[in-house]
Amino acid sequence: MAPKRRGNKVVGSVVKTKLVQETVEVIVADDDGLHAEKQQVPEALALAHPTVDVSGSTVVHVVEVTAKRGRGGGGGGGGGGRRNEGKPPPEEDSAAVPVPQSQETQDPNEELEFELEDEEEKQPETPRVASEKRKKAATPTKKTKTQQPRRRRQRLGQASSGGDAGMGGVGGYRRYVWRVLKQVHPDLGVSGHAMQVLDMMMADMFERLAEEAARLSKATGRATLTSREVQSAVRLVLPGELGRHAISEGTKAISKYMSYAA
Amino acid sequence: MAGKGGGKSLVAAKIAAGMDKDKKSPVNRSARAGLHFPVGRIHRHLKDSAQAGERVGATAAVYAAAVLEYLTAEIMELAGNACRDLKVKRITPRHLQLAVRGDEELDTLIKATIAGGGVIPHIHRELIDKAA
Repeated sequence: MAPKRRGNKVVGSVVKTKLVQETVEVIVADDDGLHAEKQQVPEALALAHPTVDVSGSTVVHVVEVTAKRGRGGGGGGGGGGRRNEGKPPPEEDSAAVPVPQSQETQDPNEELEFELEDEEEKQPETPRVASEKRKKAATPTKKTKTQQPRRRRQRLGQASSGGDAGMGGVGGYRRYVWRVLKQVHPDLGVSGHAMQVLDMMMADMFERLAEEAARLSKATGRATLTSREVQSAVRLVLPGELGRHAISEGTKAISKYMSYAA
Repeated sequence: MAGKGGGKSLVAAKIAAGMDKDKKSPVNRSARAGLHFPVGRIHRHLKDSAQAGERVGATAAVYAAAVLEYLTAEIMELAGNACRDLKVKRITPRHLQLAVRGDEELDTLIKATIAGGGVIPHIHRELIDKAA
């Protein structure tokens, strides 16, 4: 950092130095996997100021480059080719076992793994035999019945999305039709097919009324769809006496709603 | 003066505490309008079906819900009567068909085919055998 100055006086200066140690380990394996060569190139660069003690501030970077022959194994469990990710390579040459040439020709792909690890996280690991890995990769995994997702039985008339025509939620107007039925005929029931017909009928009527009301509000040049537009839509859509009774019901509901708010 | 002011503030505090105790429970809009059909859901669907930049008033949903409920009650009344005439306890699509086609205005309103409804029993006059 640059020294802080006030006027012409030097207030103070801070000097930071780092000790960087790099270790590059290269493992080259032959086709048979018998011989392995290791080359370690340690480089230490120390920049020390005579007045600053840098014994406590040591930063170590370890870079390991490993070249392996063969695929990482796409065995069961969805491991893919990244099985050894996050693990240091085996450091013992005695564990390498020769692989038959017939298996060697099946997996011509090479995989390079670049791993950056700290020295503290390095732990000795028992090396795996290459033939065991090949055997695991060769054995096919059996799918059990529990892995297959169960299909729900769709009820008659229900769409695959879970809702009925006209309404976004499940059921649409069914529960409200049921309440009205119990209001007019408390001792009667309704079948599933009939309920579906009524549900679709109400959805169709709502669509007609909403479309007509939106067309009216657009024609009048107003941006708000109010009960006035809905009333005009009812006059246009419903014929004769049915429309008059519907208008009276709507007006009664509006007056009750407004009186409740007051 | 100070005593009166203190008394007034004390009364106001008591009134506020009483209002907190008598807090009203929320009432849905269907109950406010005295309807069974869902006012809030119909309001949402009206907003969805409306064009961009168009607003939907609160009374429009109440009116639409009342109209839909009236139509449902009308159809259910006629279908229930047809069901009772046939001496059964459950409304089927056949009863809906008989109810809708038996009413002139509902027949004009609902021109669609009712699934499983059958047809109205009718034989043309010219087809009836006079000898029989």
